[in-house]
This record gives sequence, structure tokens and C-alpha cells, in this order.
Amino acid sequence: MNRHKPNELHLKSHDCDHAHWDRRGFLRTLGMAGAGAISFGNSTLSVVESPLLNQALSDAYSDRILVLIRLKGGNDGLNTIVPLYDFDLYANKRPKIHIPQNNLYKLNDNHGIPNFMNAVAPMWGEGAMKVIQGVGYENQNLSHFKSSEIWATSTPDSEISSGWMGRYYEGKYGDYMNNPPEKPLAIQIGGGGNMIFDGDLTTYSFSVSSPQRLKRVAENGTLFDNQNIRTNLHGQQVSFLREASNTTFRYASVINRA
Amino acid sequence: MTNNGFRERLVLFWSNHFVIEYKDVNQPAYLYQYYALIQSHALGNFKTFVREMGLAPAMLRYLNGYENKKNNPNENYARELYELFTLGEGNGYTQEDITETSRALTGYNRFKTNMGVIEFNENTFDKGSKTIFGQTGTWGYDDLINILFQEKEDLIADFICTKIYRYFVSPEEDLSIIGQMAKSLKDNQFEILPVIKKLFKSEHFFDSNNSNVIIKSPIDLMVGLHQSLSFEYSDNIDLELSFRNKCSEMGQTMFSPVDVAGWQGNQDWINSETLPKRWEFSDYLLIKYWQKNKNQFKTFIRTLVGSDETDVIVIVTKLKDFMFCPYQIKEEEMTDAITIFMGDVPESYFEDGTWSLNSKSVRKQVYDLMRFFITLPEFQLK
Repeated sequence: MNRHKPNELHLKSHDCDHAHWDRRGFLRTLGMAGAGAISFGNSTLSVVESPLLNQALSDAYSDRILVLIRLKGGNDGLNTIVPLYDFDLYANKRPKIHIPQNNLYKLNDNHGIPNFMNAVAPMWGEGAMKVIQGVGYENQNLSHFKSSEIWATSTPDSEISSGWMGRYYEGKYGDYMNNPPEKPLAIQIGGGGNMIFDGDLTTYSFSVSSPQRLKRVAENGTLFDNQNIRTNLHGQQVSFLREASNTTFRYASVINRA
Repeated sequence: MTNNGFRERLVLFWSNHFVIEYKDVNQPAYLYQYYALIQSHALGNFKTFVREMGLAPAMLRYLNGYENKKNNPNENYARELYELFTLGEGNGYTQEDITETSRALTGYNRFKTNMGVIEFNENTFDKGSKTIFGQTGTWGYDDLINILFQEKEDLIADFICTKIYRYFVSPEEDLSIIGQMAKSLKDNQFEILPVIKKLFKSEHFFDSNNSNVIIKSPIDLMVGLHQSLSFEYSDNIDLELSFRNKCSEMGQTMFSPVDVAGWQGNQDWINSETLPKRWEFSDYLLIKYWQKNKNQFKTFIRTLVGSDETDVIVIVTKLKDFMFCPYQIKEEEMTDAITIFMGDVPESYFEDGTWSLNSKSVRKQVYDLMRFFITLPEFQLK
């Protein structure tokens, strides 16, 4: 009667595992998978499959891609875009570190950039470069983190923890959790994933900690290197789990294409 | 959540040994009695435990003892008593023994009220002579238990100690250690406590070759993370209910193992359906802690590594050791961990002393690092 009922958990065949999955369920659960080095912002599993990644990249010419480069750390805005219209005051405030006038490239009568930034000059000439000056907030407390947070959330209201890109995607892809788009909305490279892409519900980007990581995912669809693991029991278990993780991600891409 | 961790751990172990499935029992009072029985015998005498379990209404229901009558014997319990509870499959018994044993087990069929106490009924008991393990007599329930533990003492001790060993130490059996455990069990008339004590105090138990070699069960994963951090979590969830549901989704429904043989554990826990859930649910817990109280991440790391520590590598390594035991993880992933921990903080801040474990960013840095660590394959091991 009660004896040894067959149960799906005993069926080790991966085909069986696969059959259990519907795409939505998989994406939902895999969505957050590696909140650190690898986080799949729900829709983004197709990136695992290298042809899709390549395709996404080659589509760059037809479907335009926005590249955001976020420089970490502090930057002296006045030493980057130098105010020629009041150079004396500027030089006065920065007696030792101001850029001398003969080391400046003039963008126009009012603004210059240091010579070593010459490379951007042609872009400026073509009107392809914009500068926003005087960005800040009232009663600034000089905290680097507060500023970074505002930069990501685009509001001084510290109760809001979604980023401006995240909110944009949330508005544009209202049914994202159930019906994610075919291609990753965003790929973040470096760091643990910035809050710019955080919505209220989920993170809308696929993030990898380094370009090397992204390369491995793109080339062979594996997340975890399974080489040179020790051969003792611990090592065998680690190896098993690494392989299982990689397999899981490979399925993700197959299902995503289905 | 329970504070009597080790006893509850044993309840989990024994409920996966003397298996019932709560849906088949389908009677809250029976289930309560079953639970109480396991709790009170978890570190008691194994022979008494076996005796009591066979008379527990939940077990009489689940393995059909309540239907086992003189004129209509049911072999289910007799078979599992040997195969799963005391001897092991095909180990030291014959089909003849099972048939005869089931006759000795008859009589526990009388319900005073529907689904109430199950009493012994002389009229449905088979009073005839039975031969069990070579001993012949008009055996009843207690005779049977005595004969079993008399005739099969060695096999029982080996079987149960192997199971304890595999559960608490390693899926790779060390026969010499198991032999010592079995001897201790027999020397102590099947008292469980001395065996467990001896095992947990042994050098072998602390041998690093035996640490982090078992794949966490869903309950290990969730309760382990929760207990090890002891963080506050957001008020809007019923944590115990949520644990039950999530463990169920990961393949471990409390008091409902996959079958009468119980969860086989270890690599059986992992497949491409359960693994992403393991990632998701561990992350879910961290998110709930974060929502409730962000500062606890900072307090935690300051306590763990010392509030004066400013060496990022030391901090990341200590958190890794805390979450994975002092095992190496891959260099590549250690590098990732450090990058993630450094997060948005300008690198120079670490060099010029601007950054410390007092910085406002610390809580997010720790949170992000934990969220990364739980995704590493090694986190599935205990």
C-alpha cells in the first residue's frame, strides 16, 4: 500500500527536471539567482546562450543600445570642465591643483577641458557630447554615499530605493515578472550591481562582476569554473554542485528559447 | 522558532527514520502523539523507541497495523520494521519471518471512537504459535520486540549507527568508527545518548576531512542560515509558515517524506528545479532581514571581525569562513567577493583610512556580500 511510492524527486533524469519547468516559473526563480557576481534580472537568461548574446551585440547597430559608464569615486568637476569665464576665481580656490590656462583645450569661450582630455574634443565639435553643470542637492552633507545614492535614485528622498533606470523599466515592462522580454534589458559589468537598475519589484539587469565572467558565460554558458577541484569528498561534492549549477543555467537558456 | 535546536534536529532525523506521511495519517491527535513520542525518545533507548513506535496510532494507521487481524493479516508493518527501522533491506530476515511476525503483531485494531485511541483486541489477535528468527512460541507484541533485539542485536546496532553516522558525519562510511559506535550502543543496552555523546566528542567528528561534505537539506539551508545570523526579519511574514512552504517547494515537506523509506538526502536534494529555489529562498531571507533592519548587517560584521578591522581581505575571509567553514573557495570567486564587498566605495577610501566598519556604506556592503556568498555552490554544503 504505502510502499515506496515513486516520486519525482527520486527521478534523477534531467529530462524529468526539465519537464517540470514552465518558462515563467523558471525565470521567476532563477531571476535573482546570483545576486552578487551573477544576477539574472528575471528576463535576462537568454544571455547565457552565447548566440543570443552575440545577436544582442550585433543588433547594436539597428536597436540602439545605451551605454552608461559610471566612474566610481570622487571627481573634481571644476578641474574637468574648467570655468574660463571666471578663471581667476577658479585658480584662486585651487592654488595648487588648478589646470594652467596653457594646458587647457577650449570648448568655447566659457569652458575648457584639460589637454589630456583632447580625445573628446571631436565629439564636442559634432555636438555629441553634453555637460551638465552645477549638479547637487540642498544642504549637502558631503557624504560620498549620499551623493551616489541620489545619483542612482535621482531623488534626495532617501526612502526611495529604486533607481531611475529601474523605474523606467518598471513603467515600460509592467508584466515583466510574468512575461519578460526576449533579450536582457540591461547588462551591468563590474561591482555587485548598482541600484540604478533596481525597481520596486526586481532588478532589471543581468550583472556580472567582471568582463572575464561575462566572457565565460557568453562563450560556454557556464557560471562556475569546475577545474582543479580537490579530489576528496568535499571536492567531489563541490564539483557535483558546480556542475549542477552550470546545468541549471544551460536549461534556463533552452527554456527561454522554447 | 525553537531554541532547543539539537533535540529538534533529532526529531527531524527520527521522523525521517520512523517515517509517516501526515496526509495518510490524517488525524491531528495521532500526529501530535507521534511528534511527542519522537521528542521524548530522540535520545532515549532505541529498543523502547521501536516498541512504542509500533503502537503509535499514527504508525498503526500509516503502515496498516490497524488492519492487521488474525483472519486477515497485513504484512506492511512487519516488513518495514525489519527493512527500514531496524535491520536494513534483506538483512537477516526471510519472507517467512515477516509472515510470522505480522501474526505476532495482530490485535491492535479496536477503535473506541472513530479515529480515537487504538486498543488491543484479544479477538483479532492471532494466538497461535509462530516461529520468528528460529524461536517458536505463541508470541505477542512484546515477545516479538524482545526476540528481535536478542537475535539481531549486532545487525540492529550496525544498521542504526550507520544511519546516524551518514546523517551527522559523512555520506562516506567509516566502518571502524561505525563499529565503535555500534559496540557502544550494545554496551549501553541500546541507549542512544552515550553513542551520540561519544561521536560528537570524537576527534573523527572534528576531522576537517569530514566537514562540509553533506549537502544541506532544505531545512538545513533555511534554518541554518536563519539561526546562524539570528537577524530580525520583517514583520509582514509568518516565518515558520514561510519556511514550511519553501522547504516543501524545495522537496522537503515536514512529516511527509517522499516515501516510507524517507528522504535519501545528499545529492538527491539537488536538481535543476530545486537548485534555483535554494538560491531564491536563501536570498529571500536576506531581503527580509534587510527590509526590517539594515543596520543589523553592520552590527553583525563588527561583532564578527572586530570593529577596528579595516583590512578588506580579512573581513571578506572571515565572513566566508563564517558562512562556509574555513574552506577555500576558488580564487576567482574570492576576487569577486572582494570586488562586491568594496562596492561603491572609492578605492582610495580603503587606503587613506576614510573607510572603516563605521562607514554608512558597510551595511549594504555586507548585505551584498552575503547575497553573493549564498549563490556559490559551496554554500549548499554543511
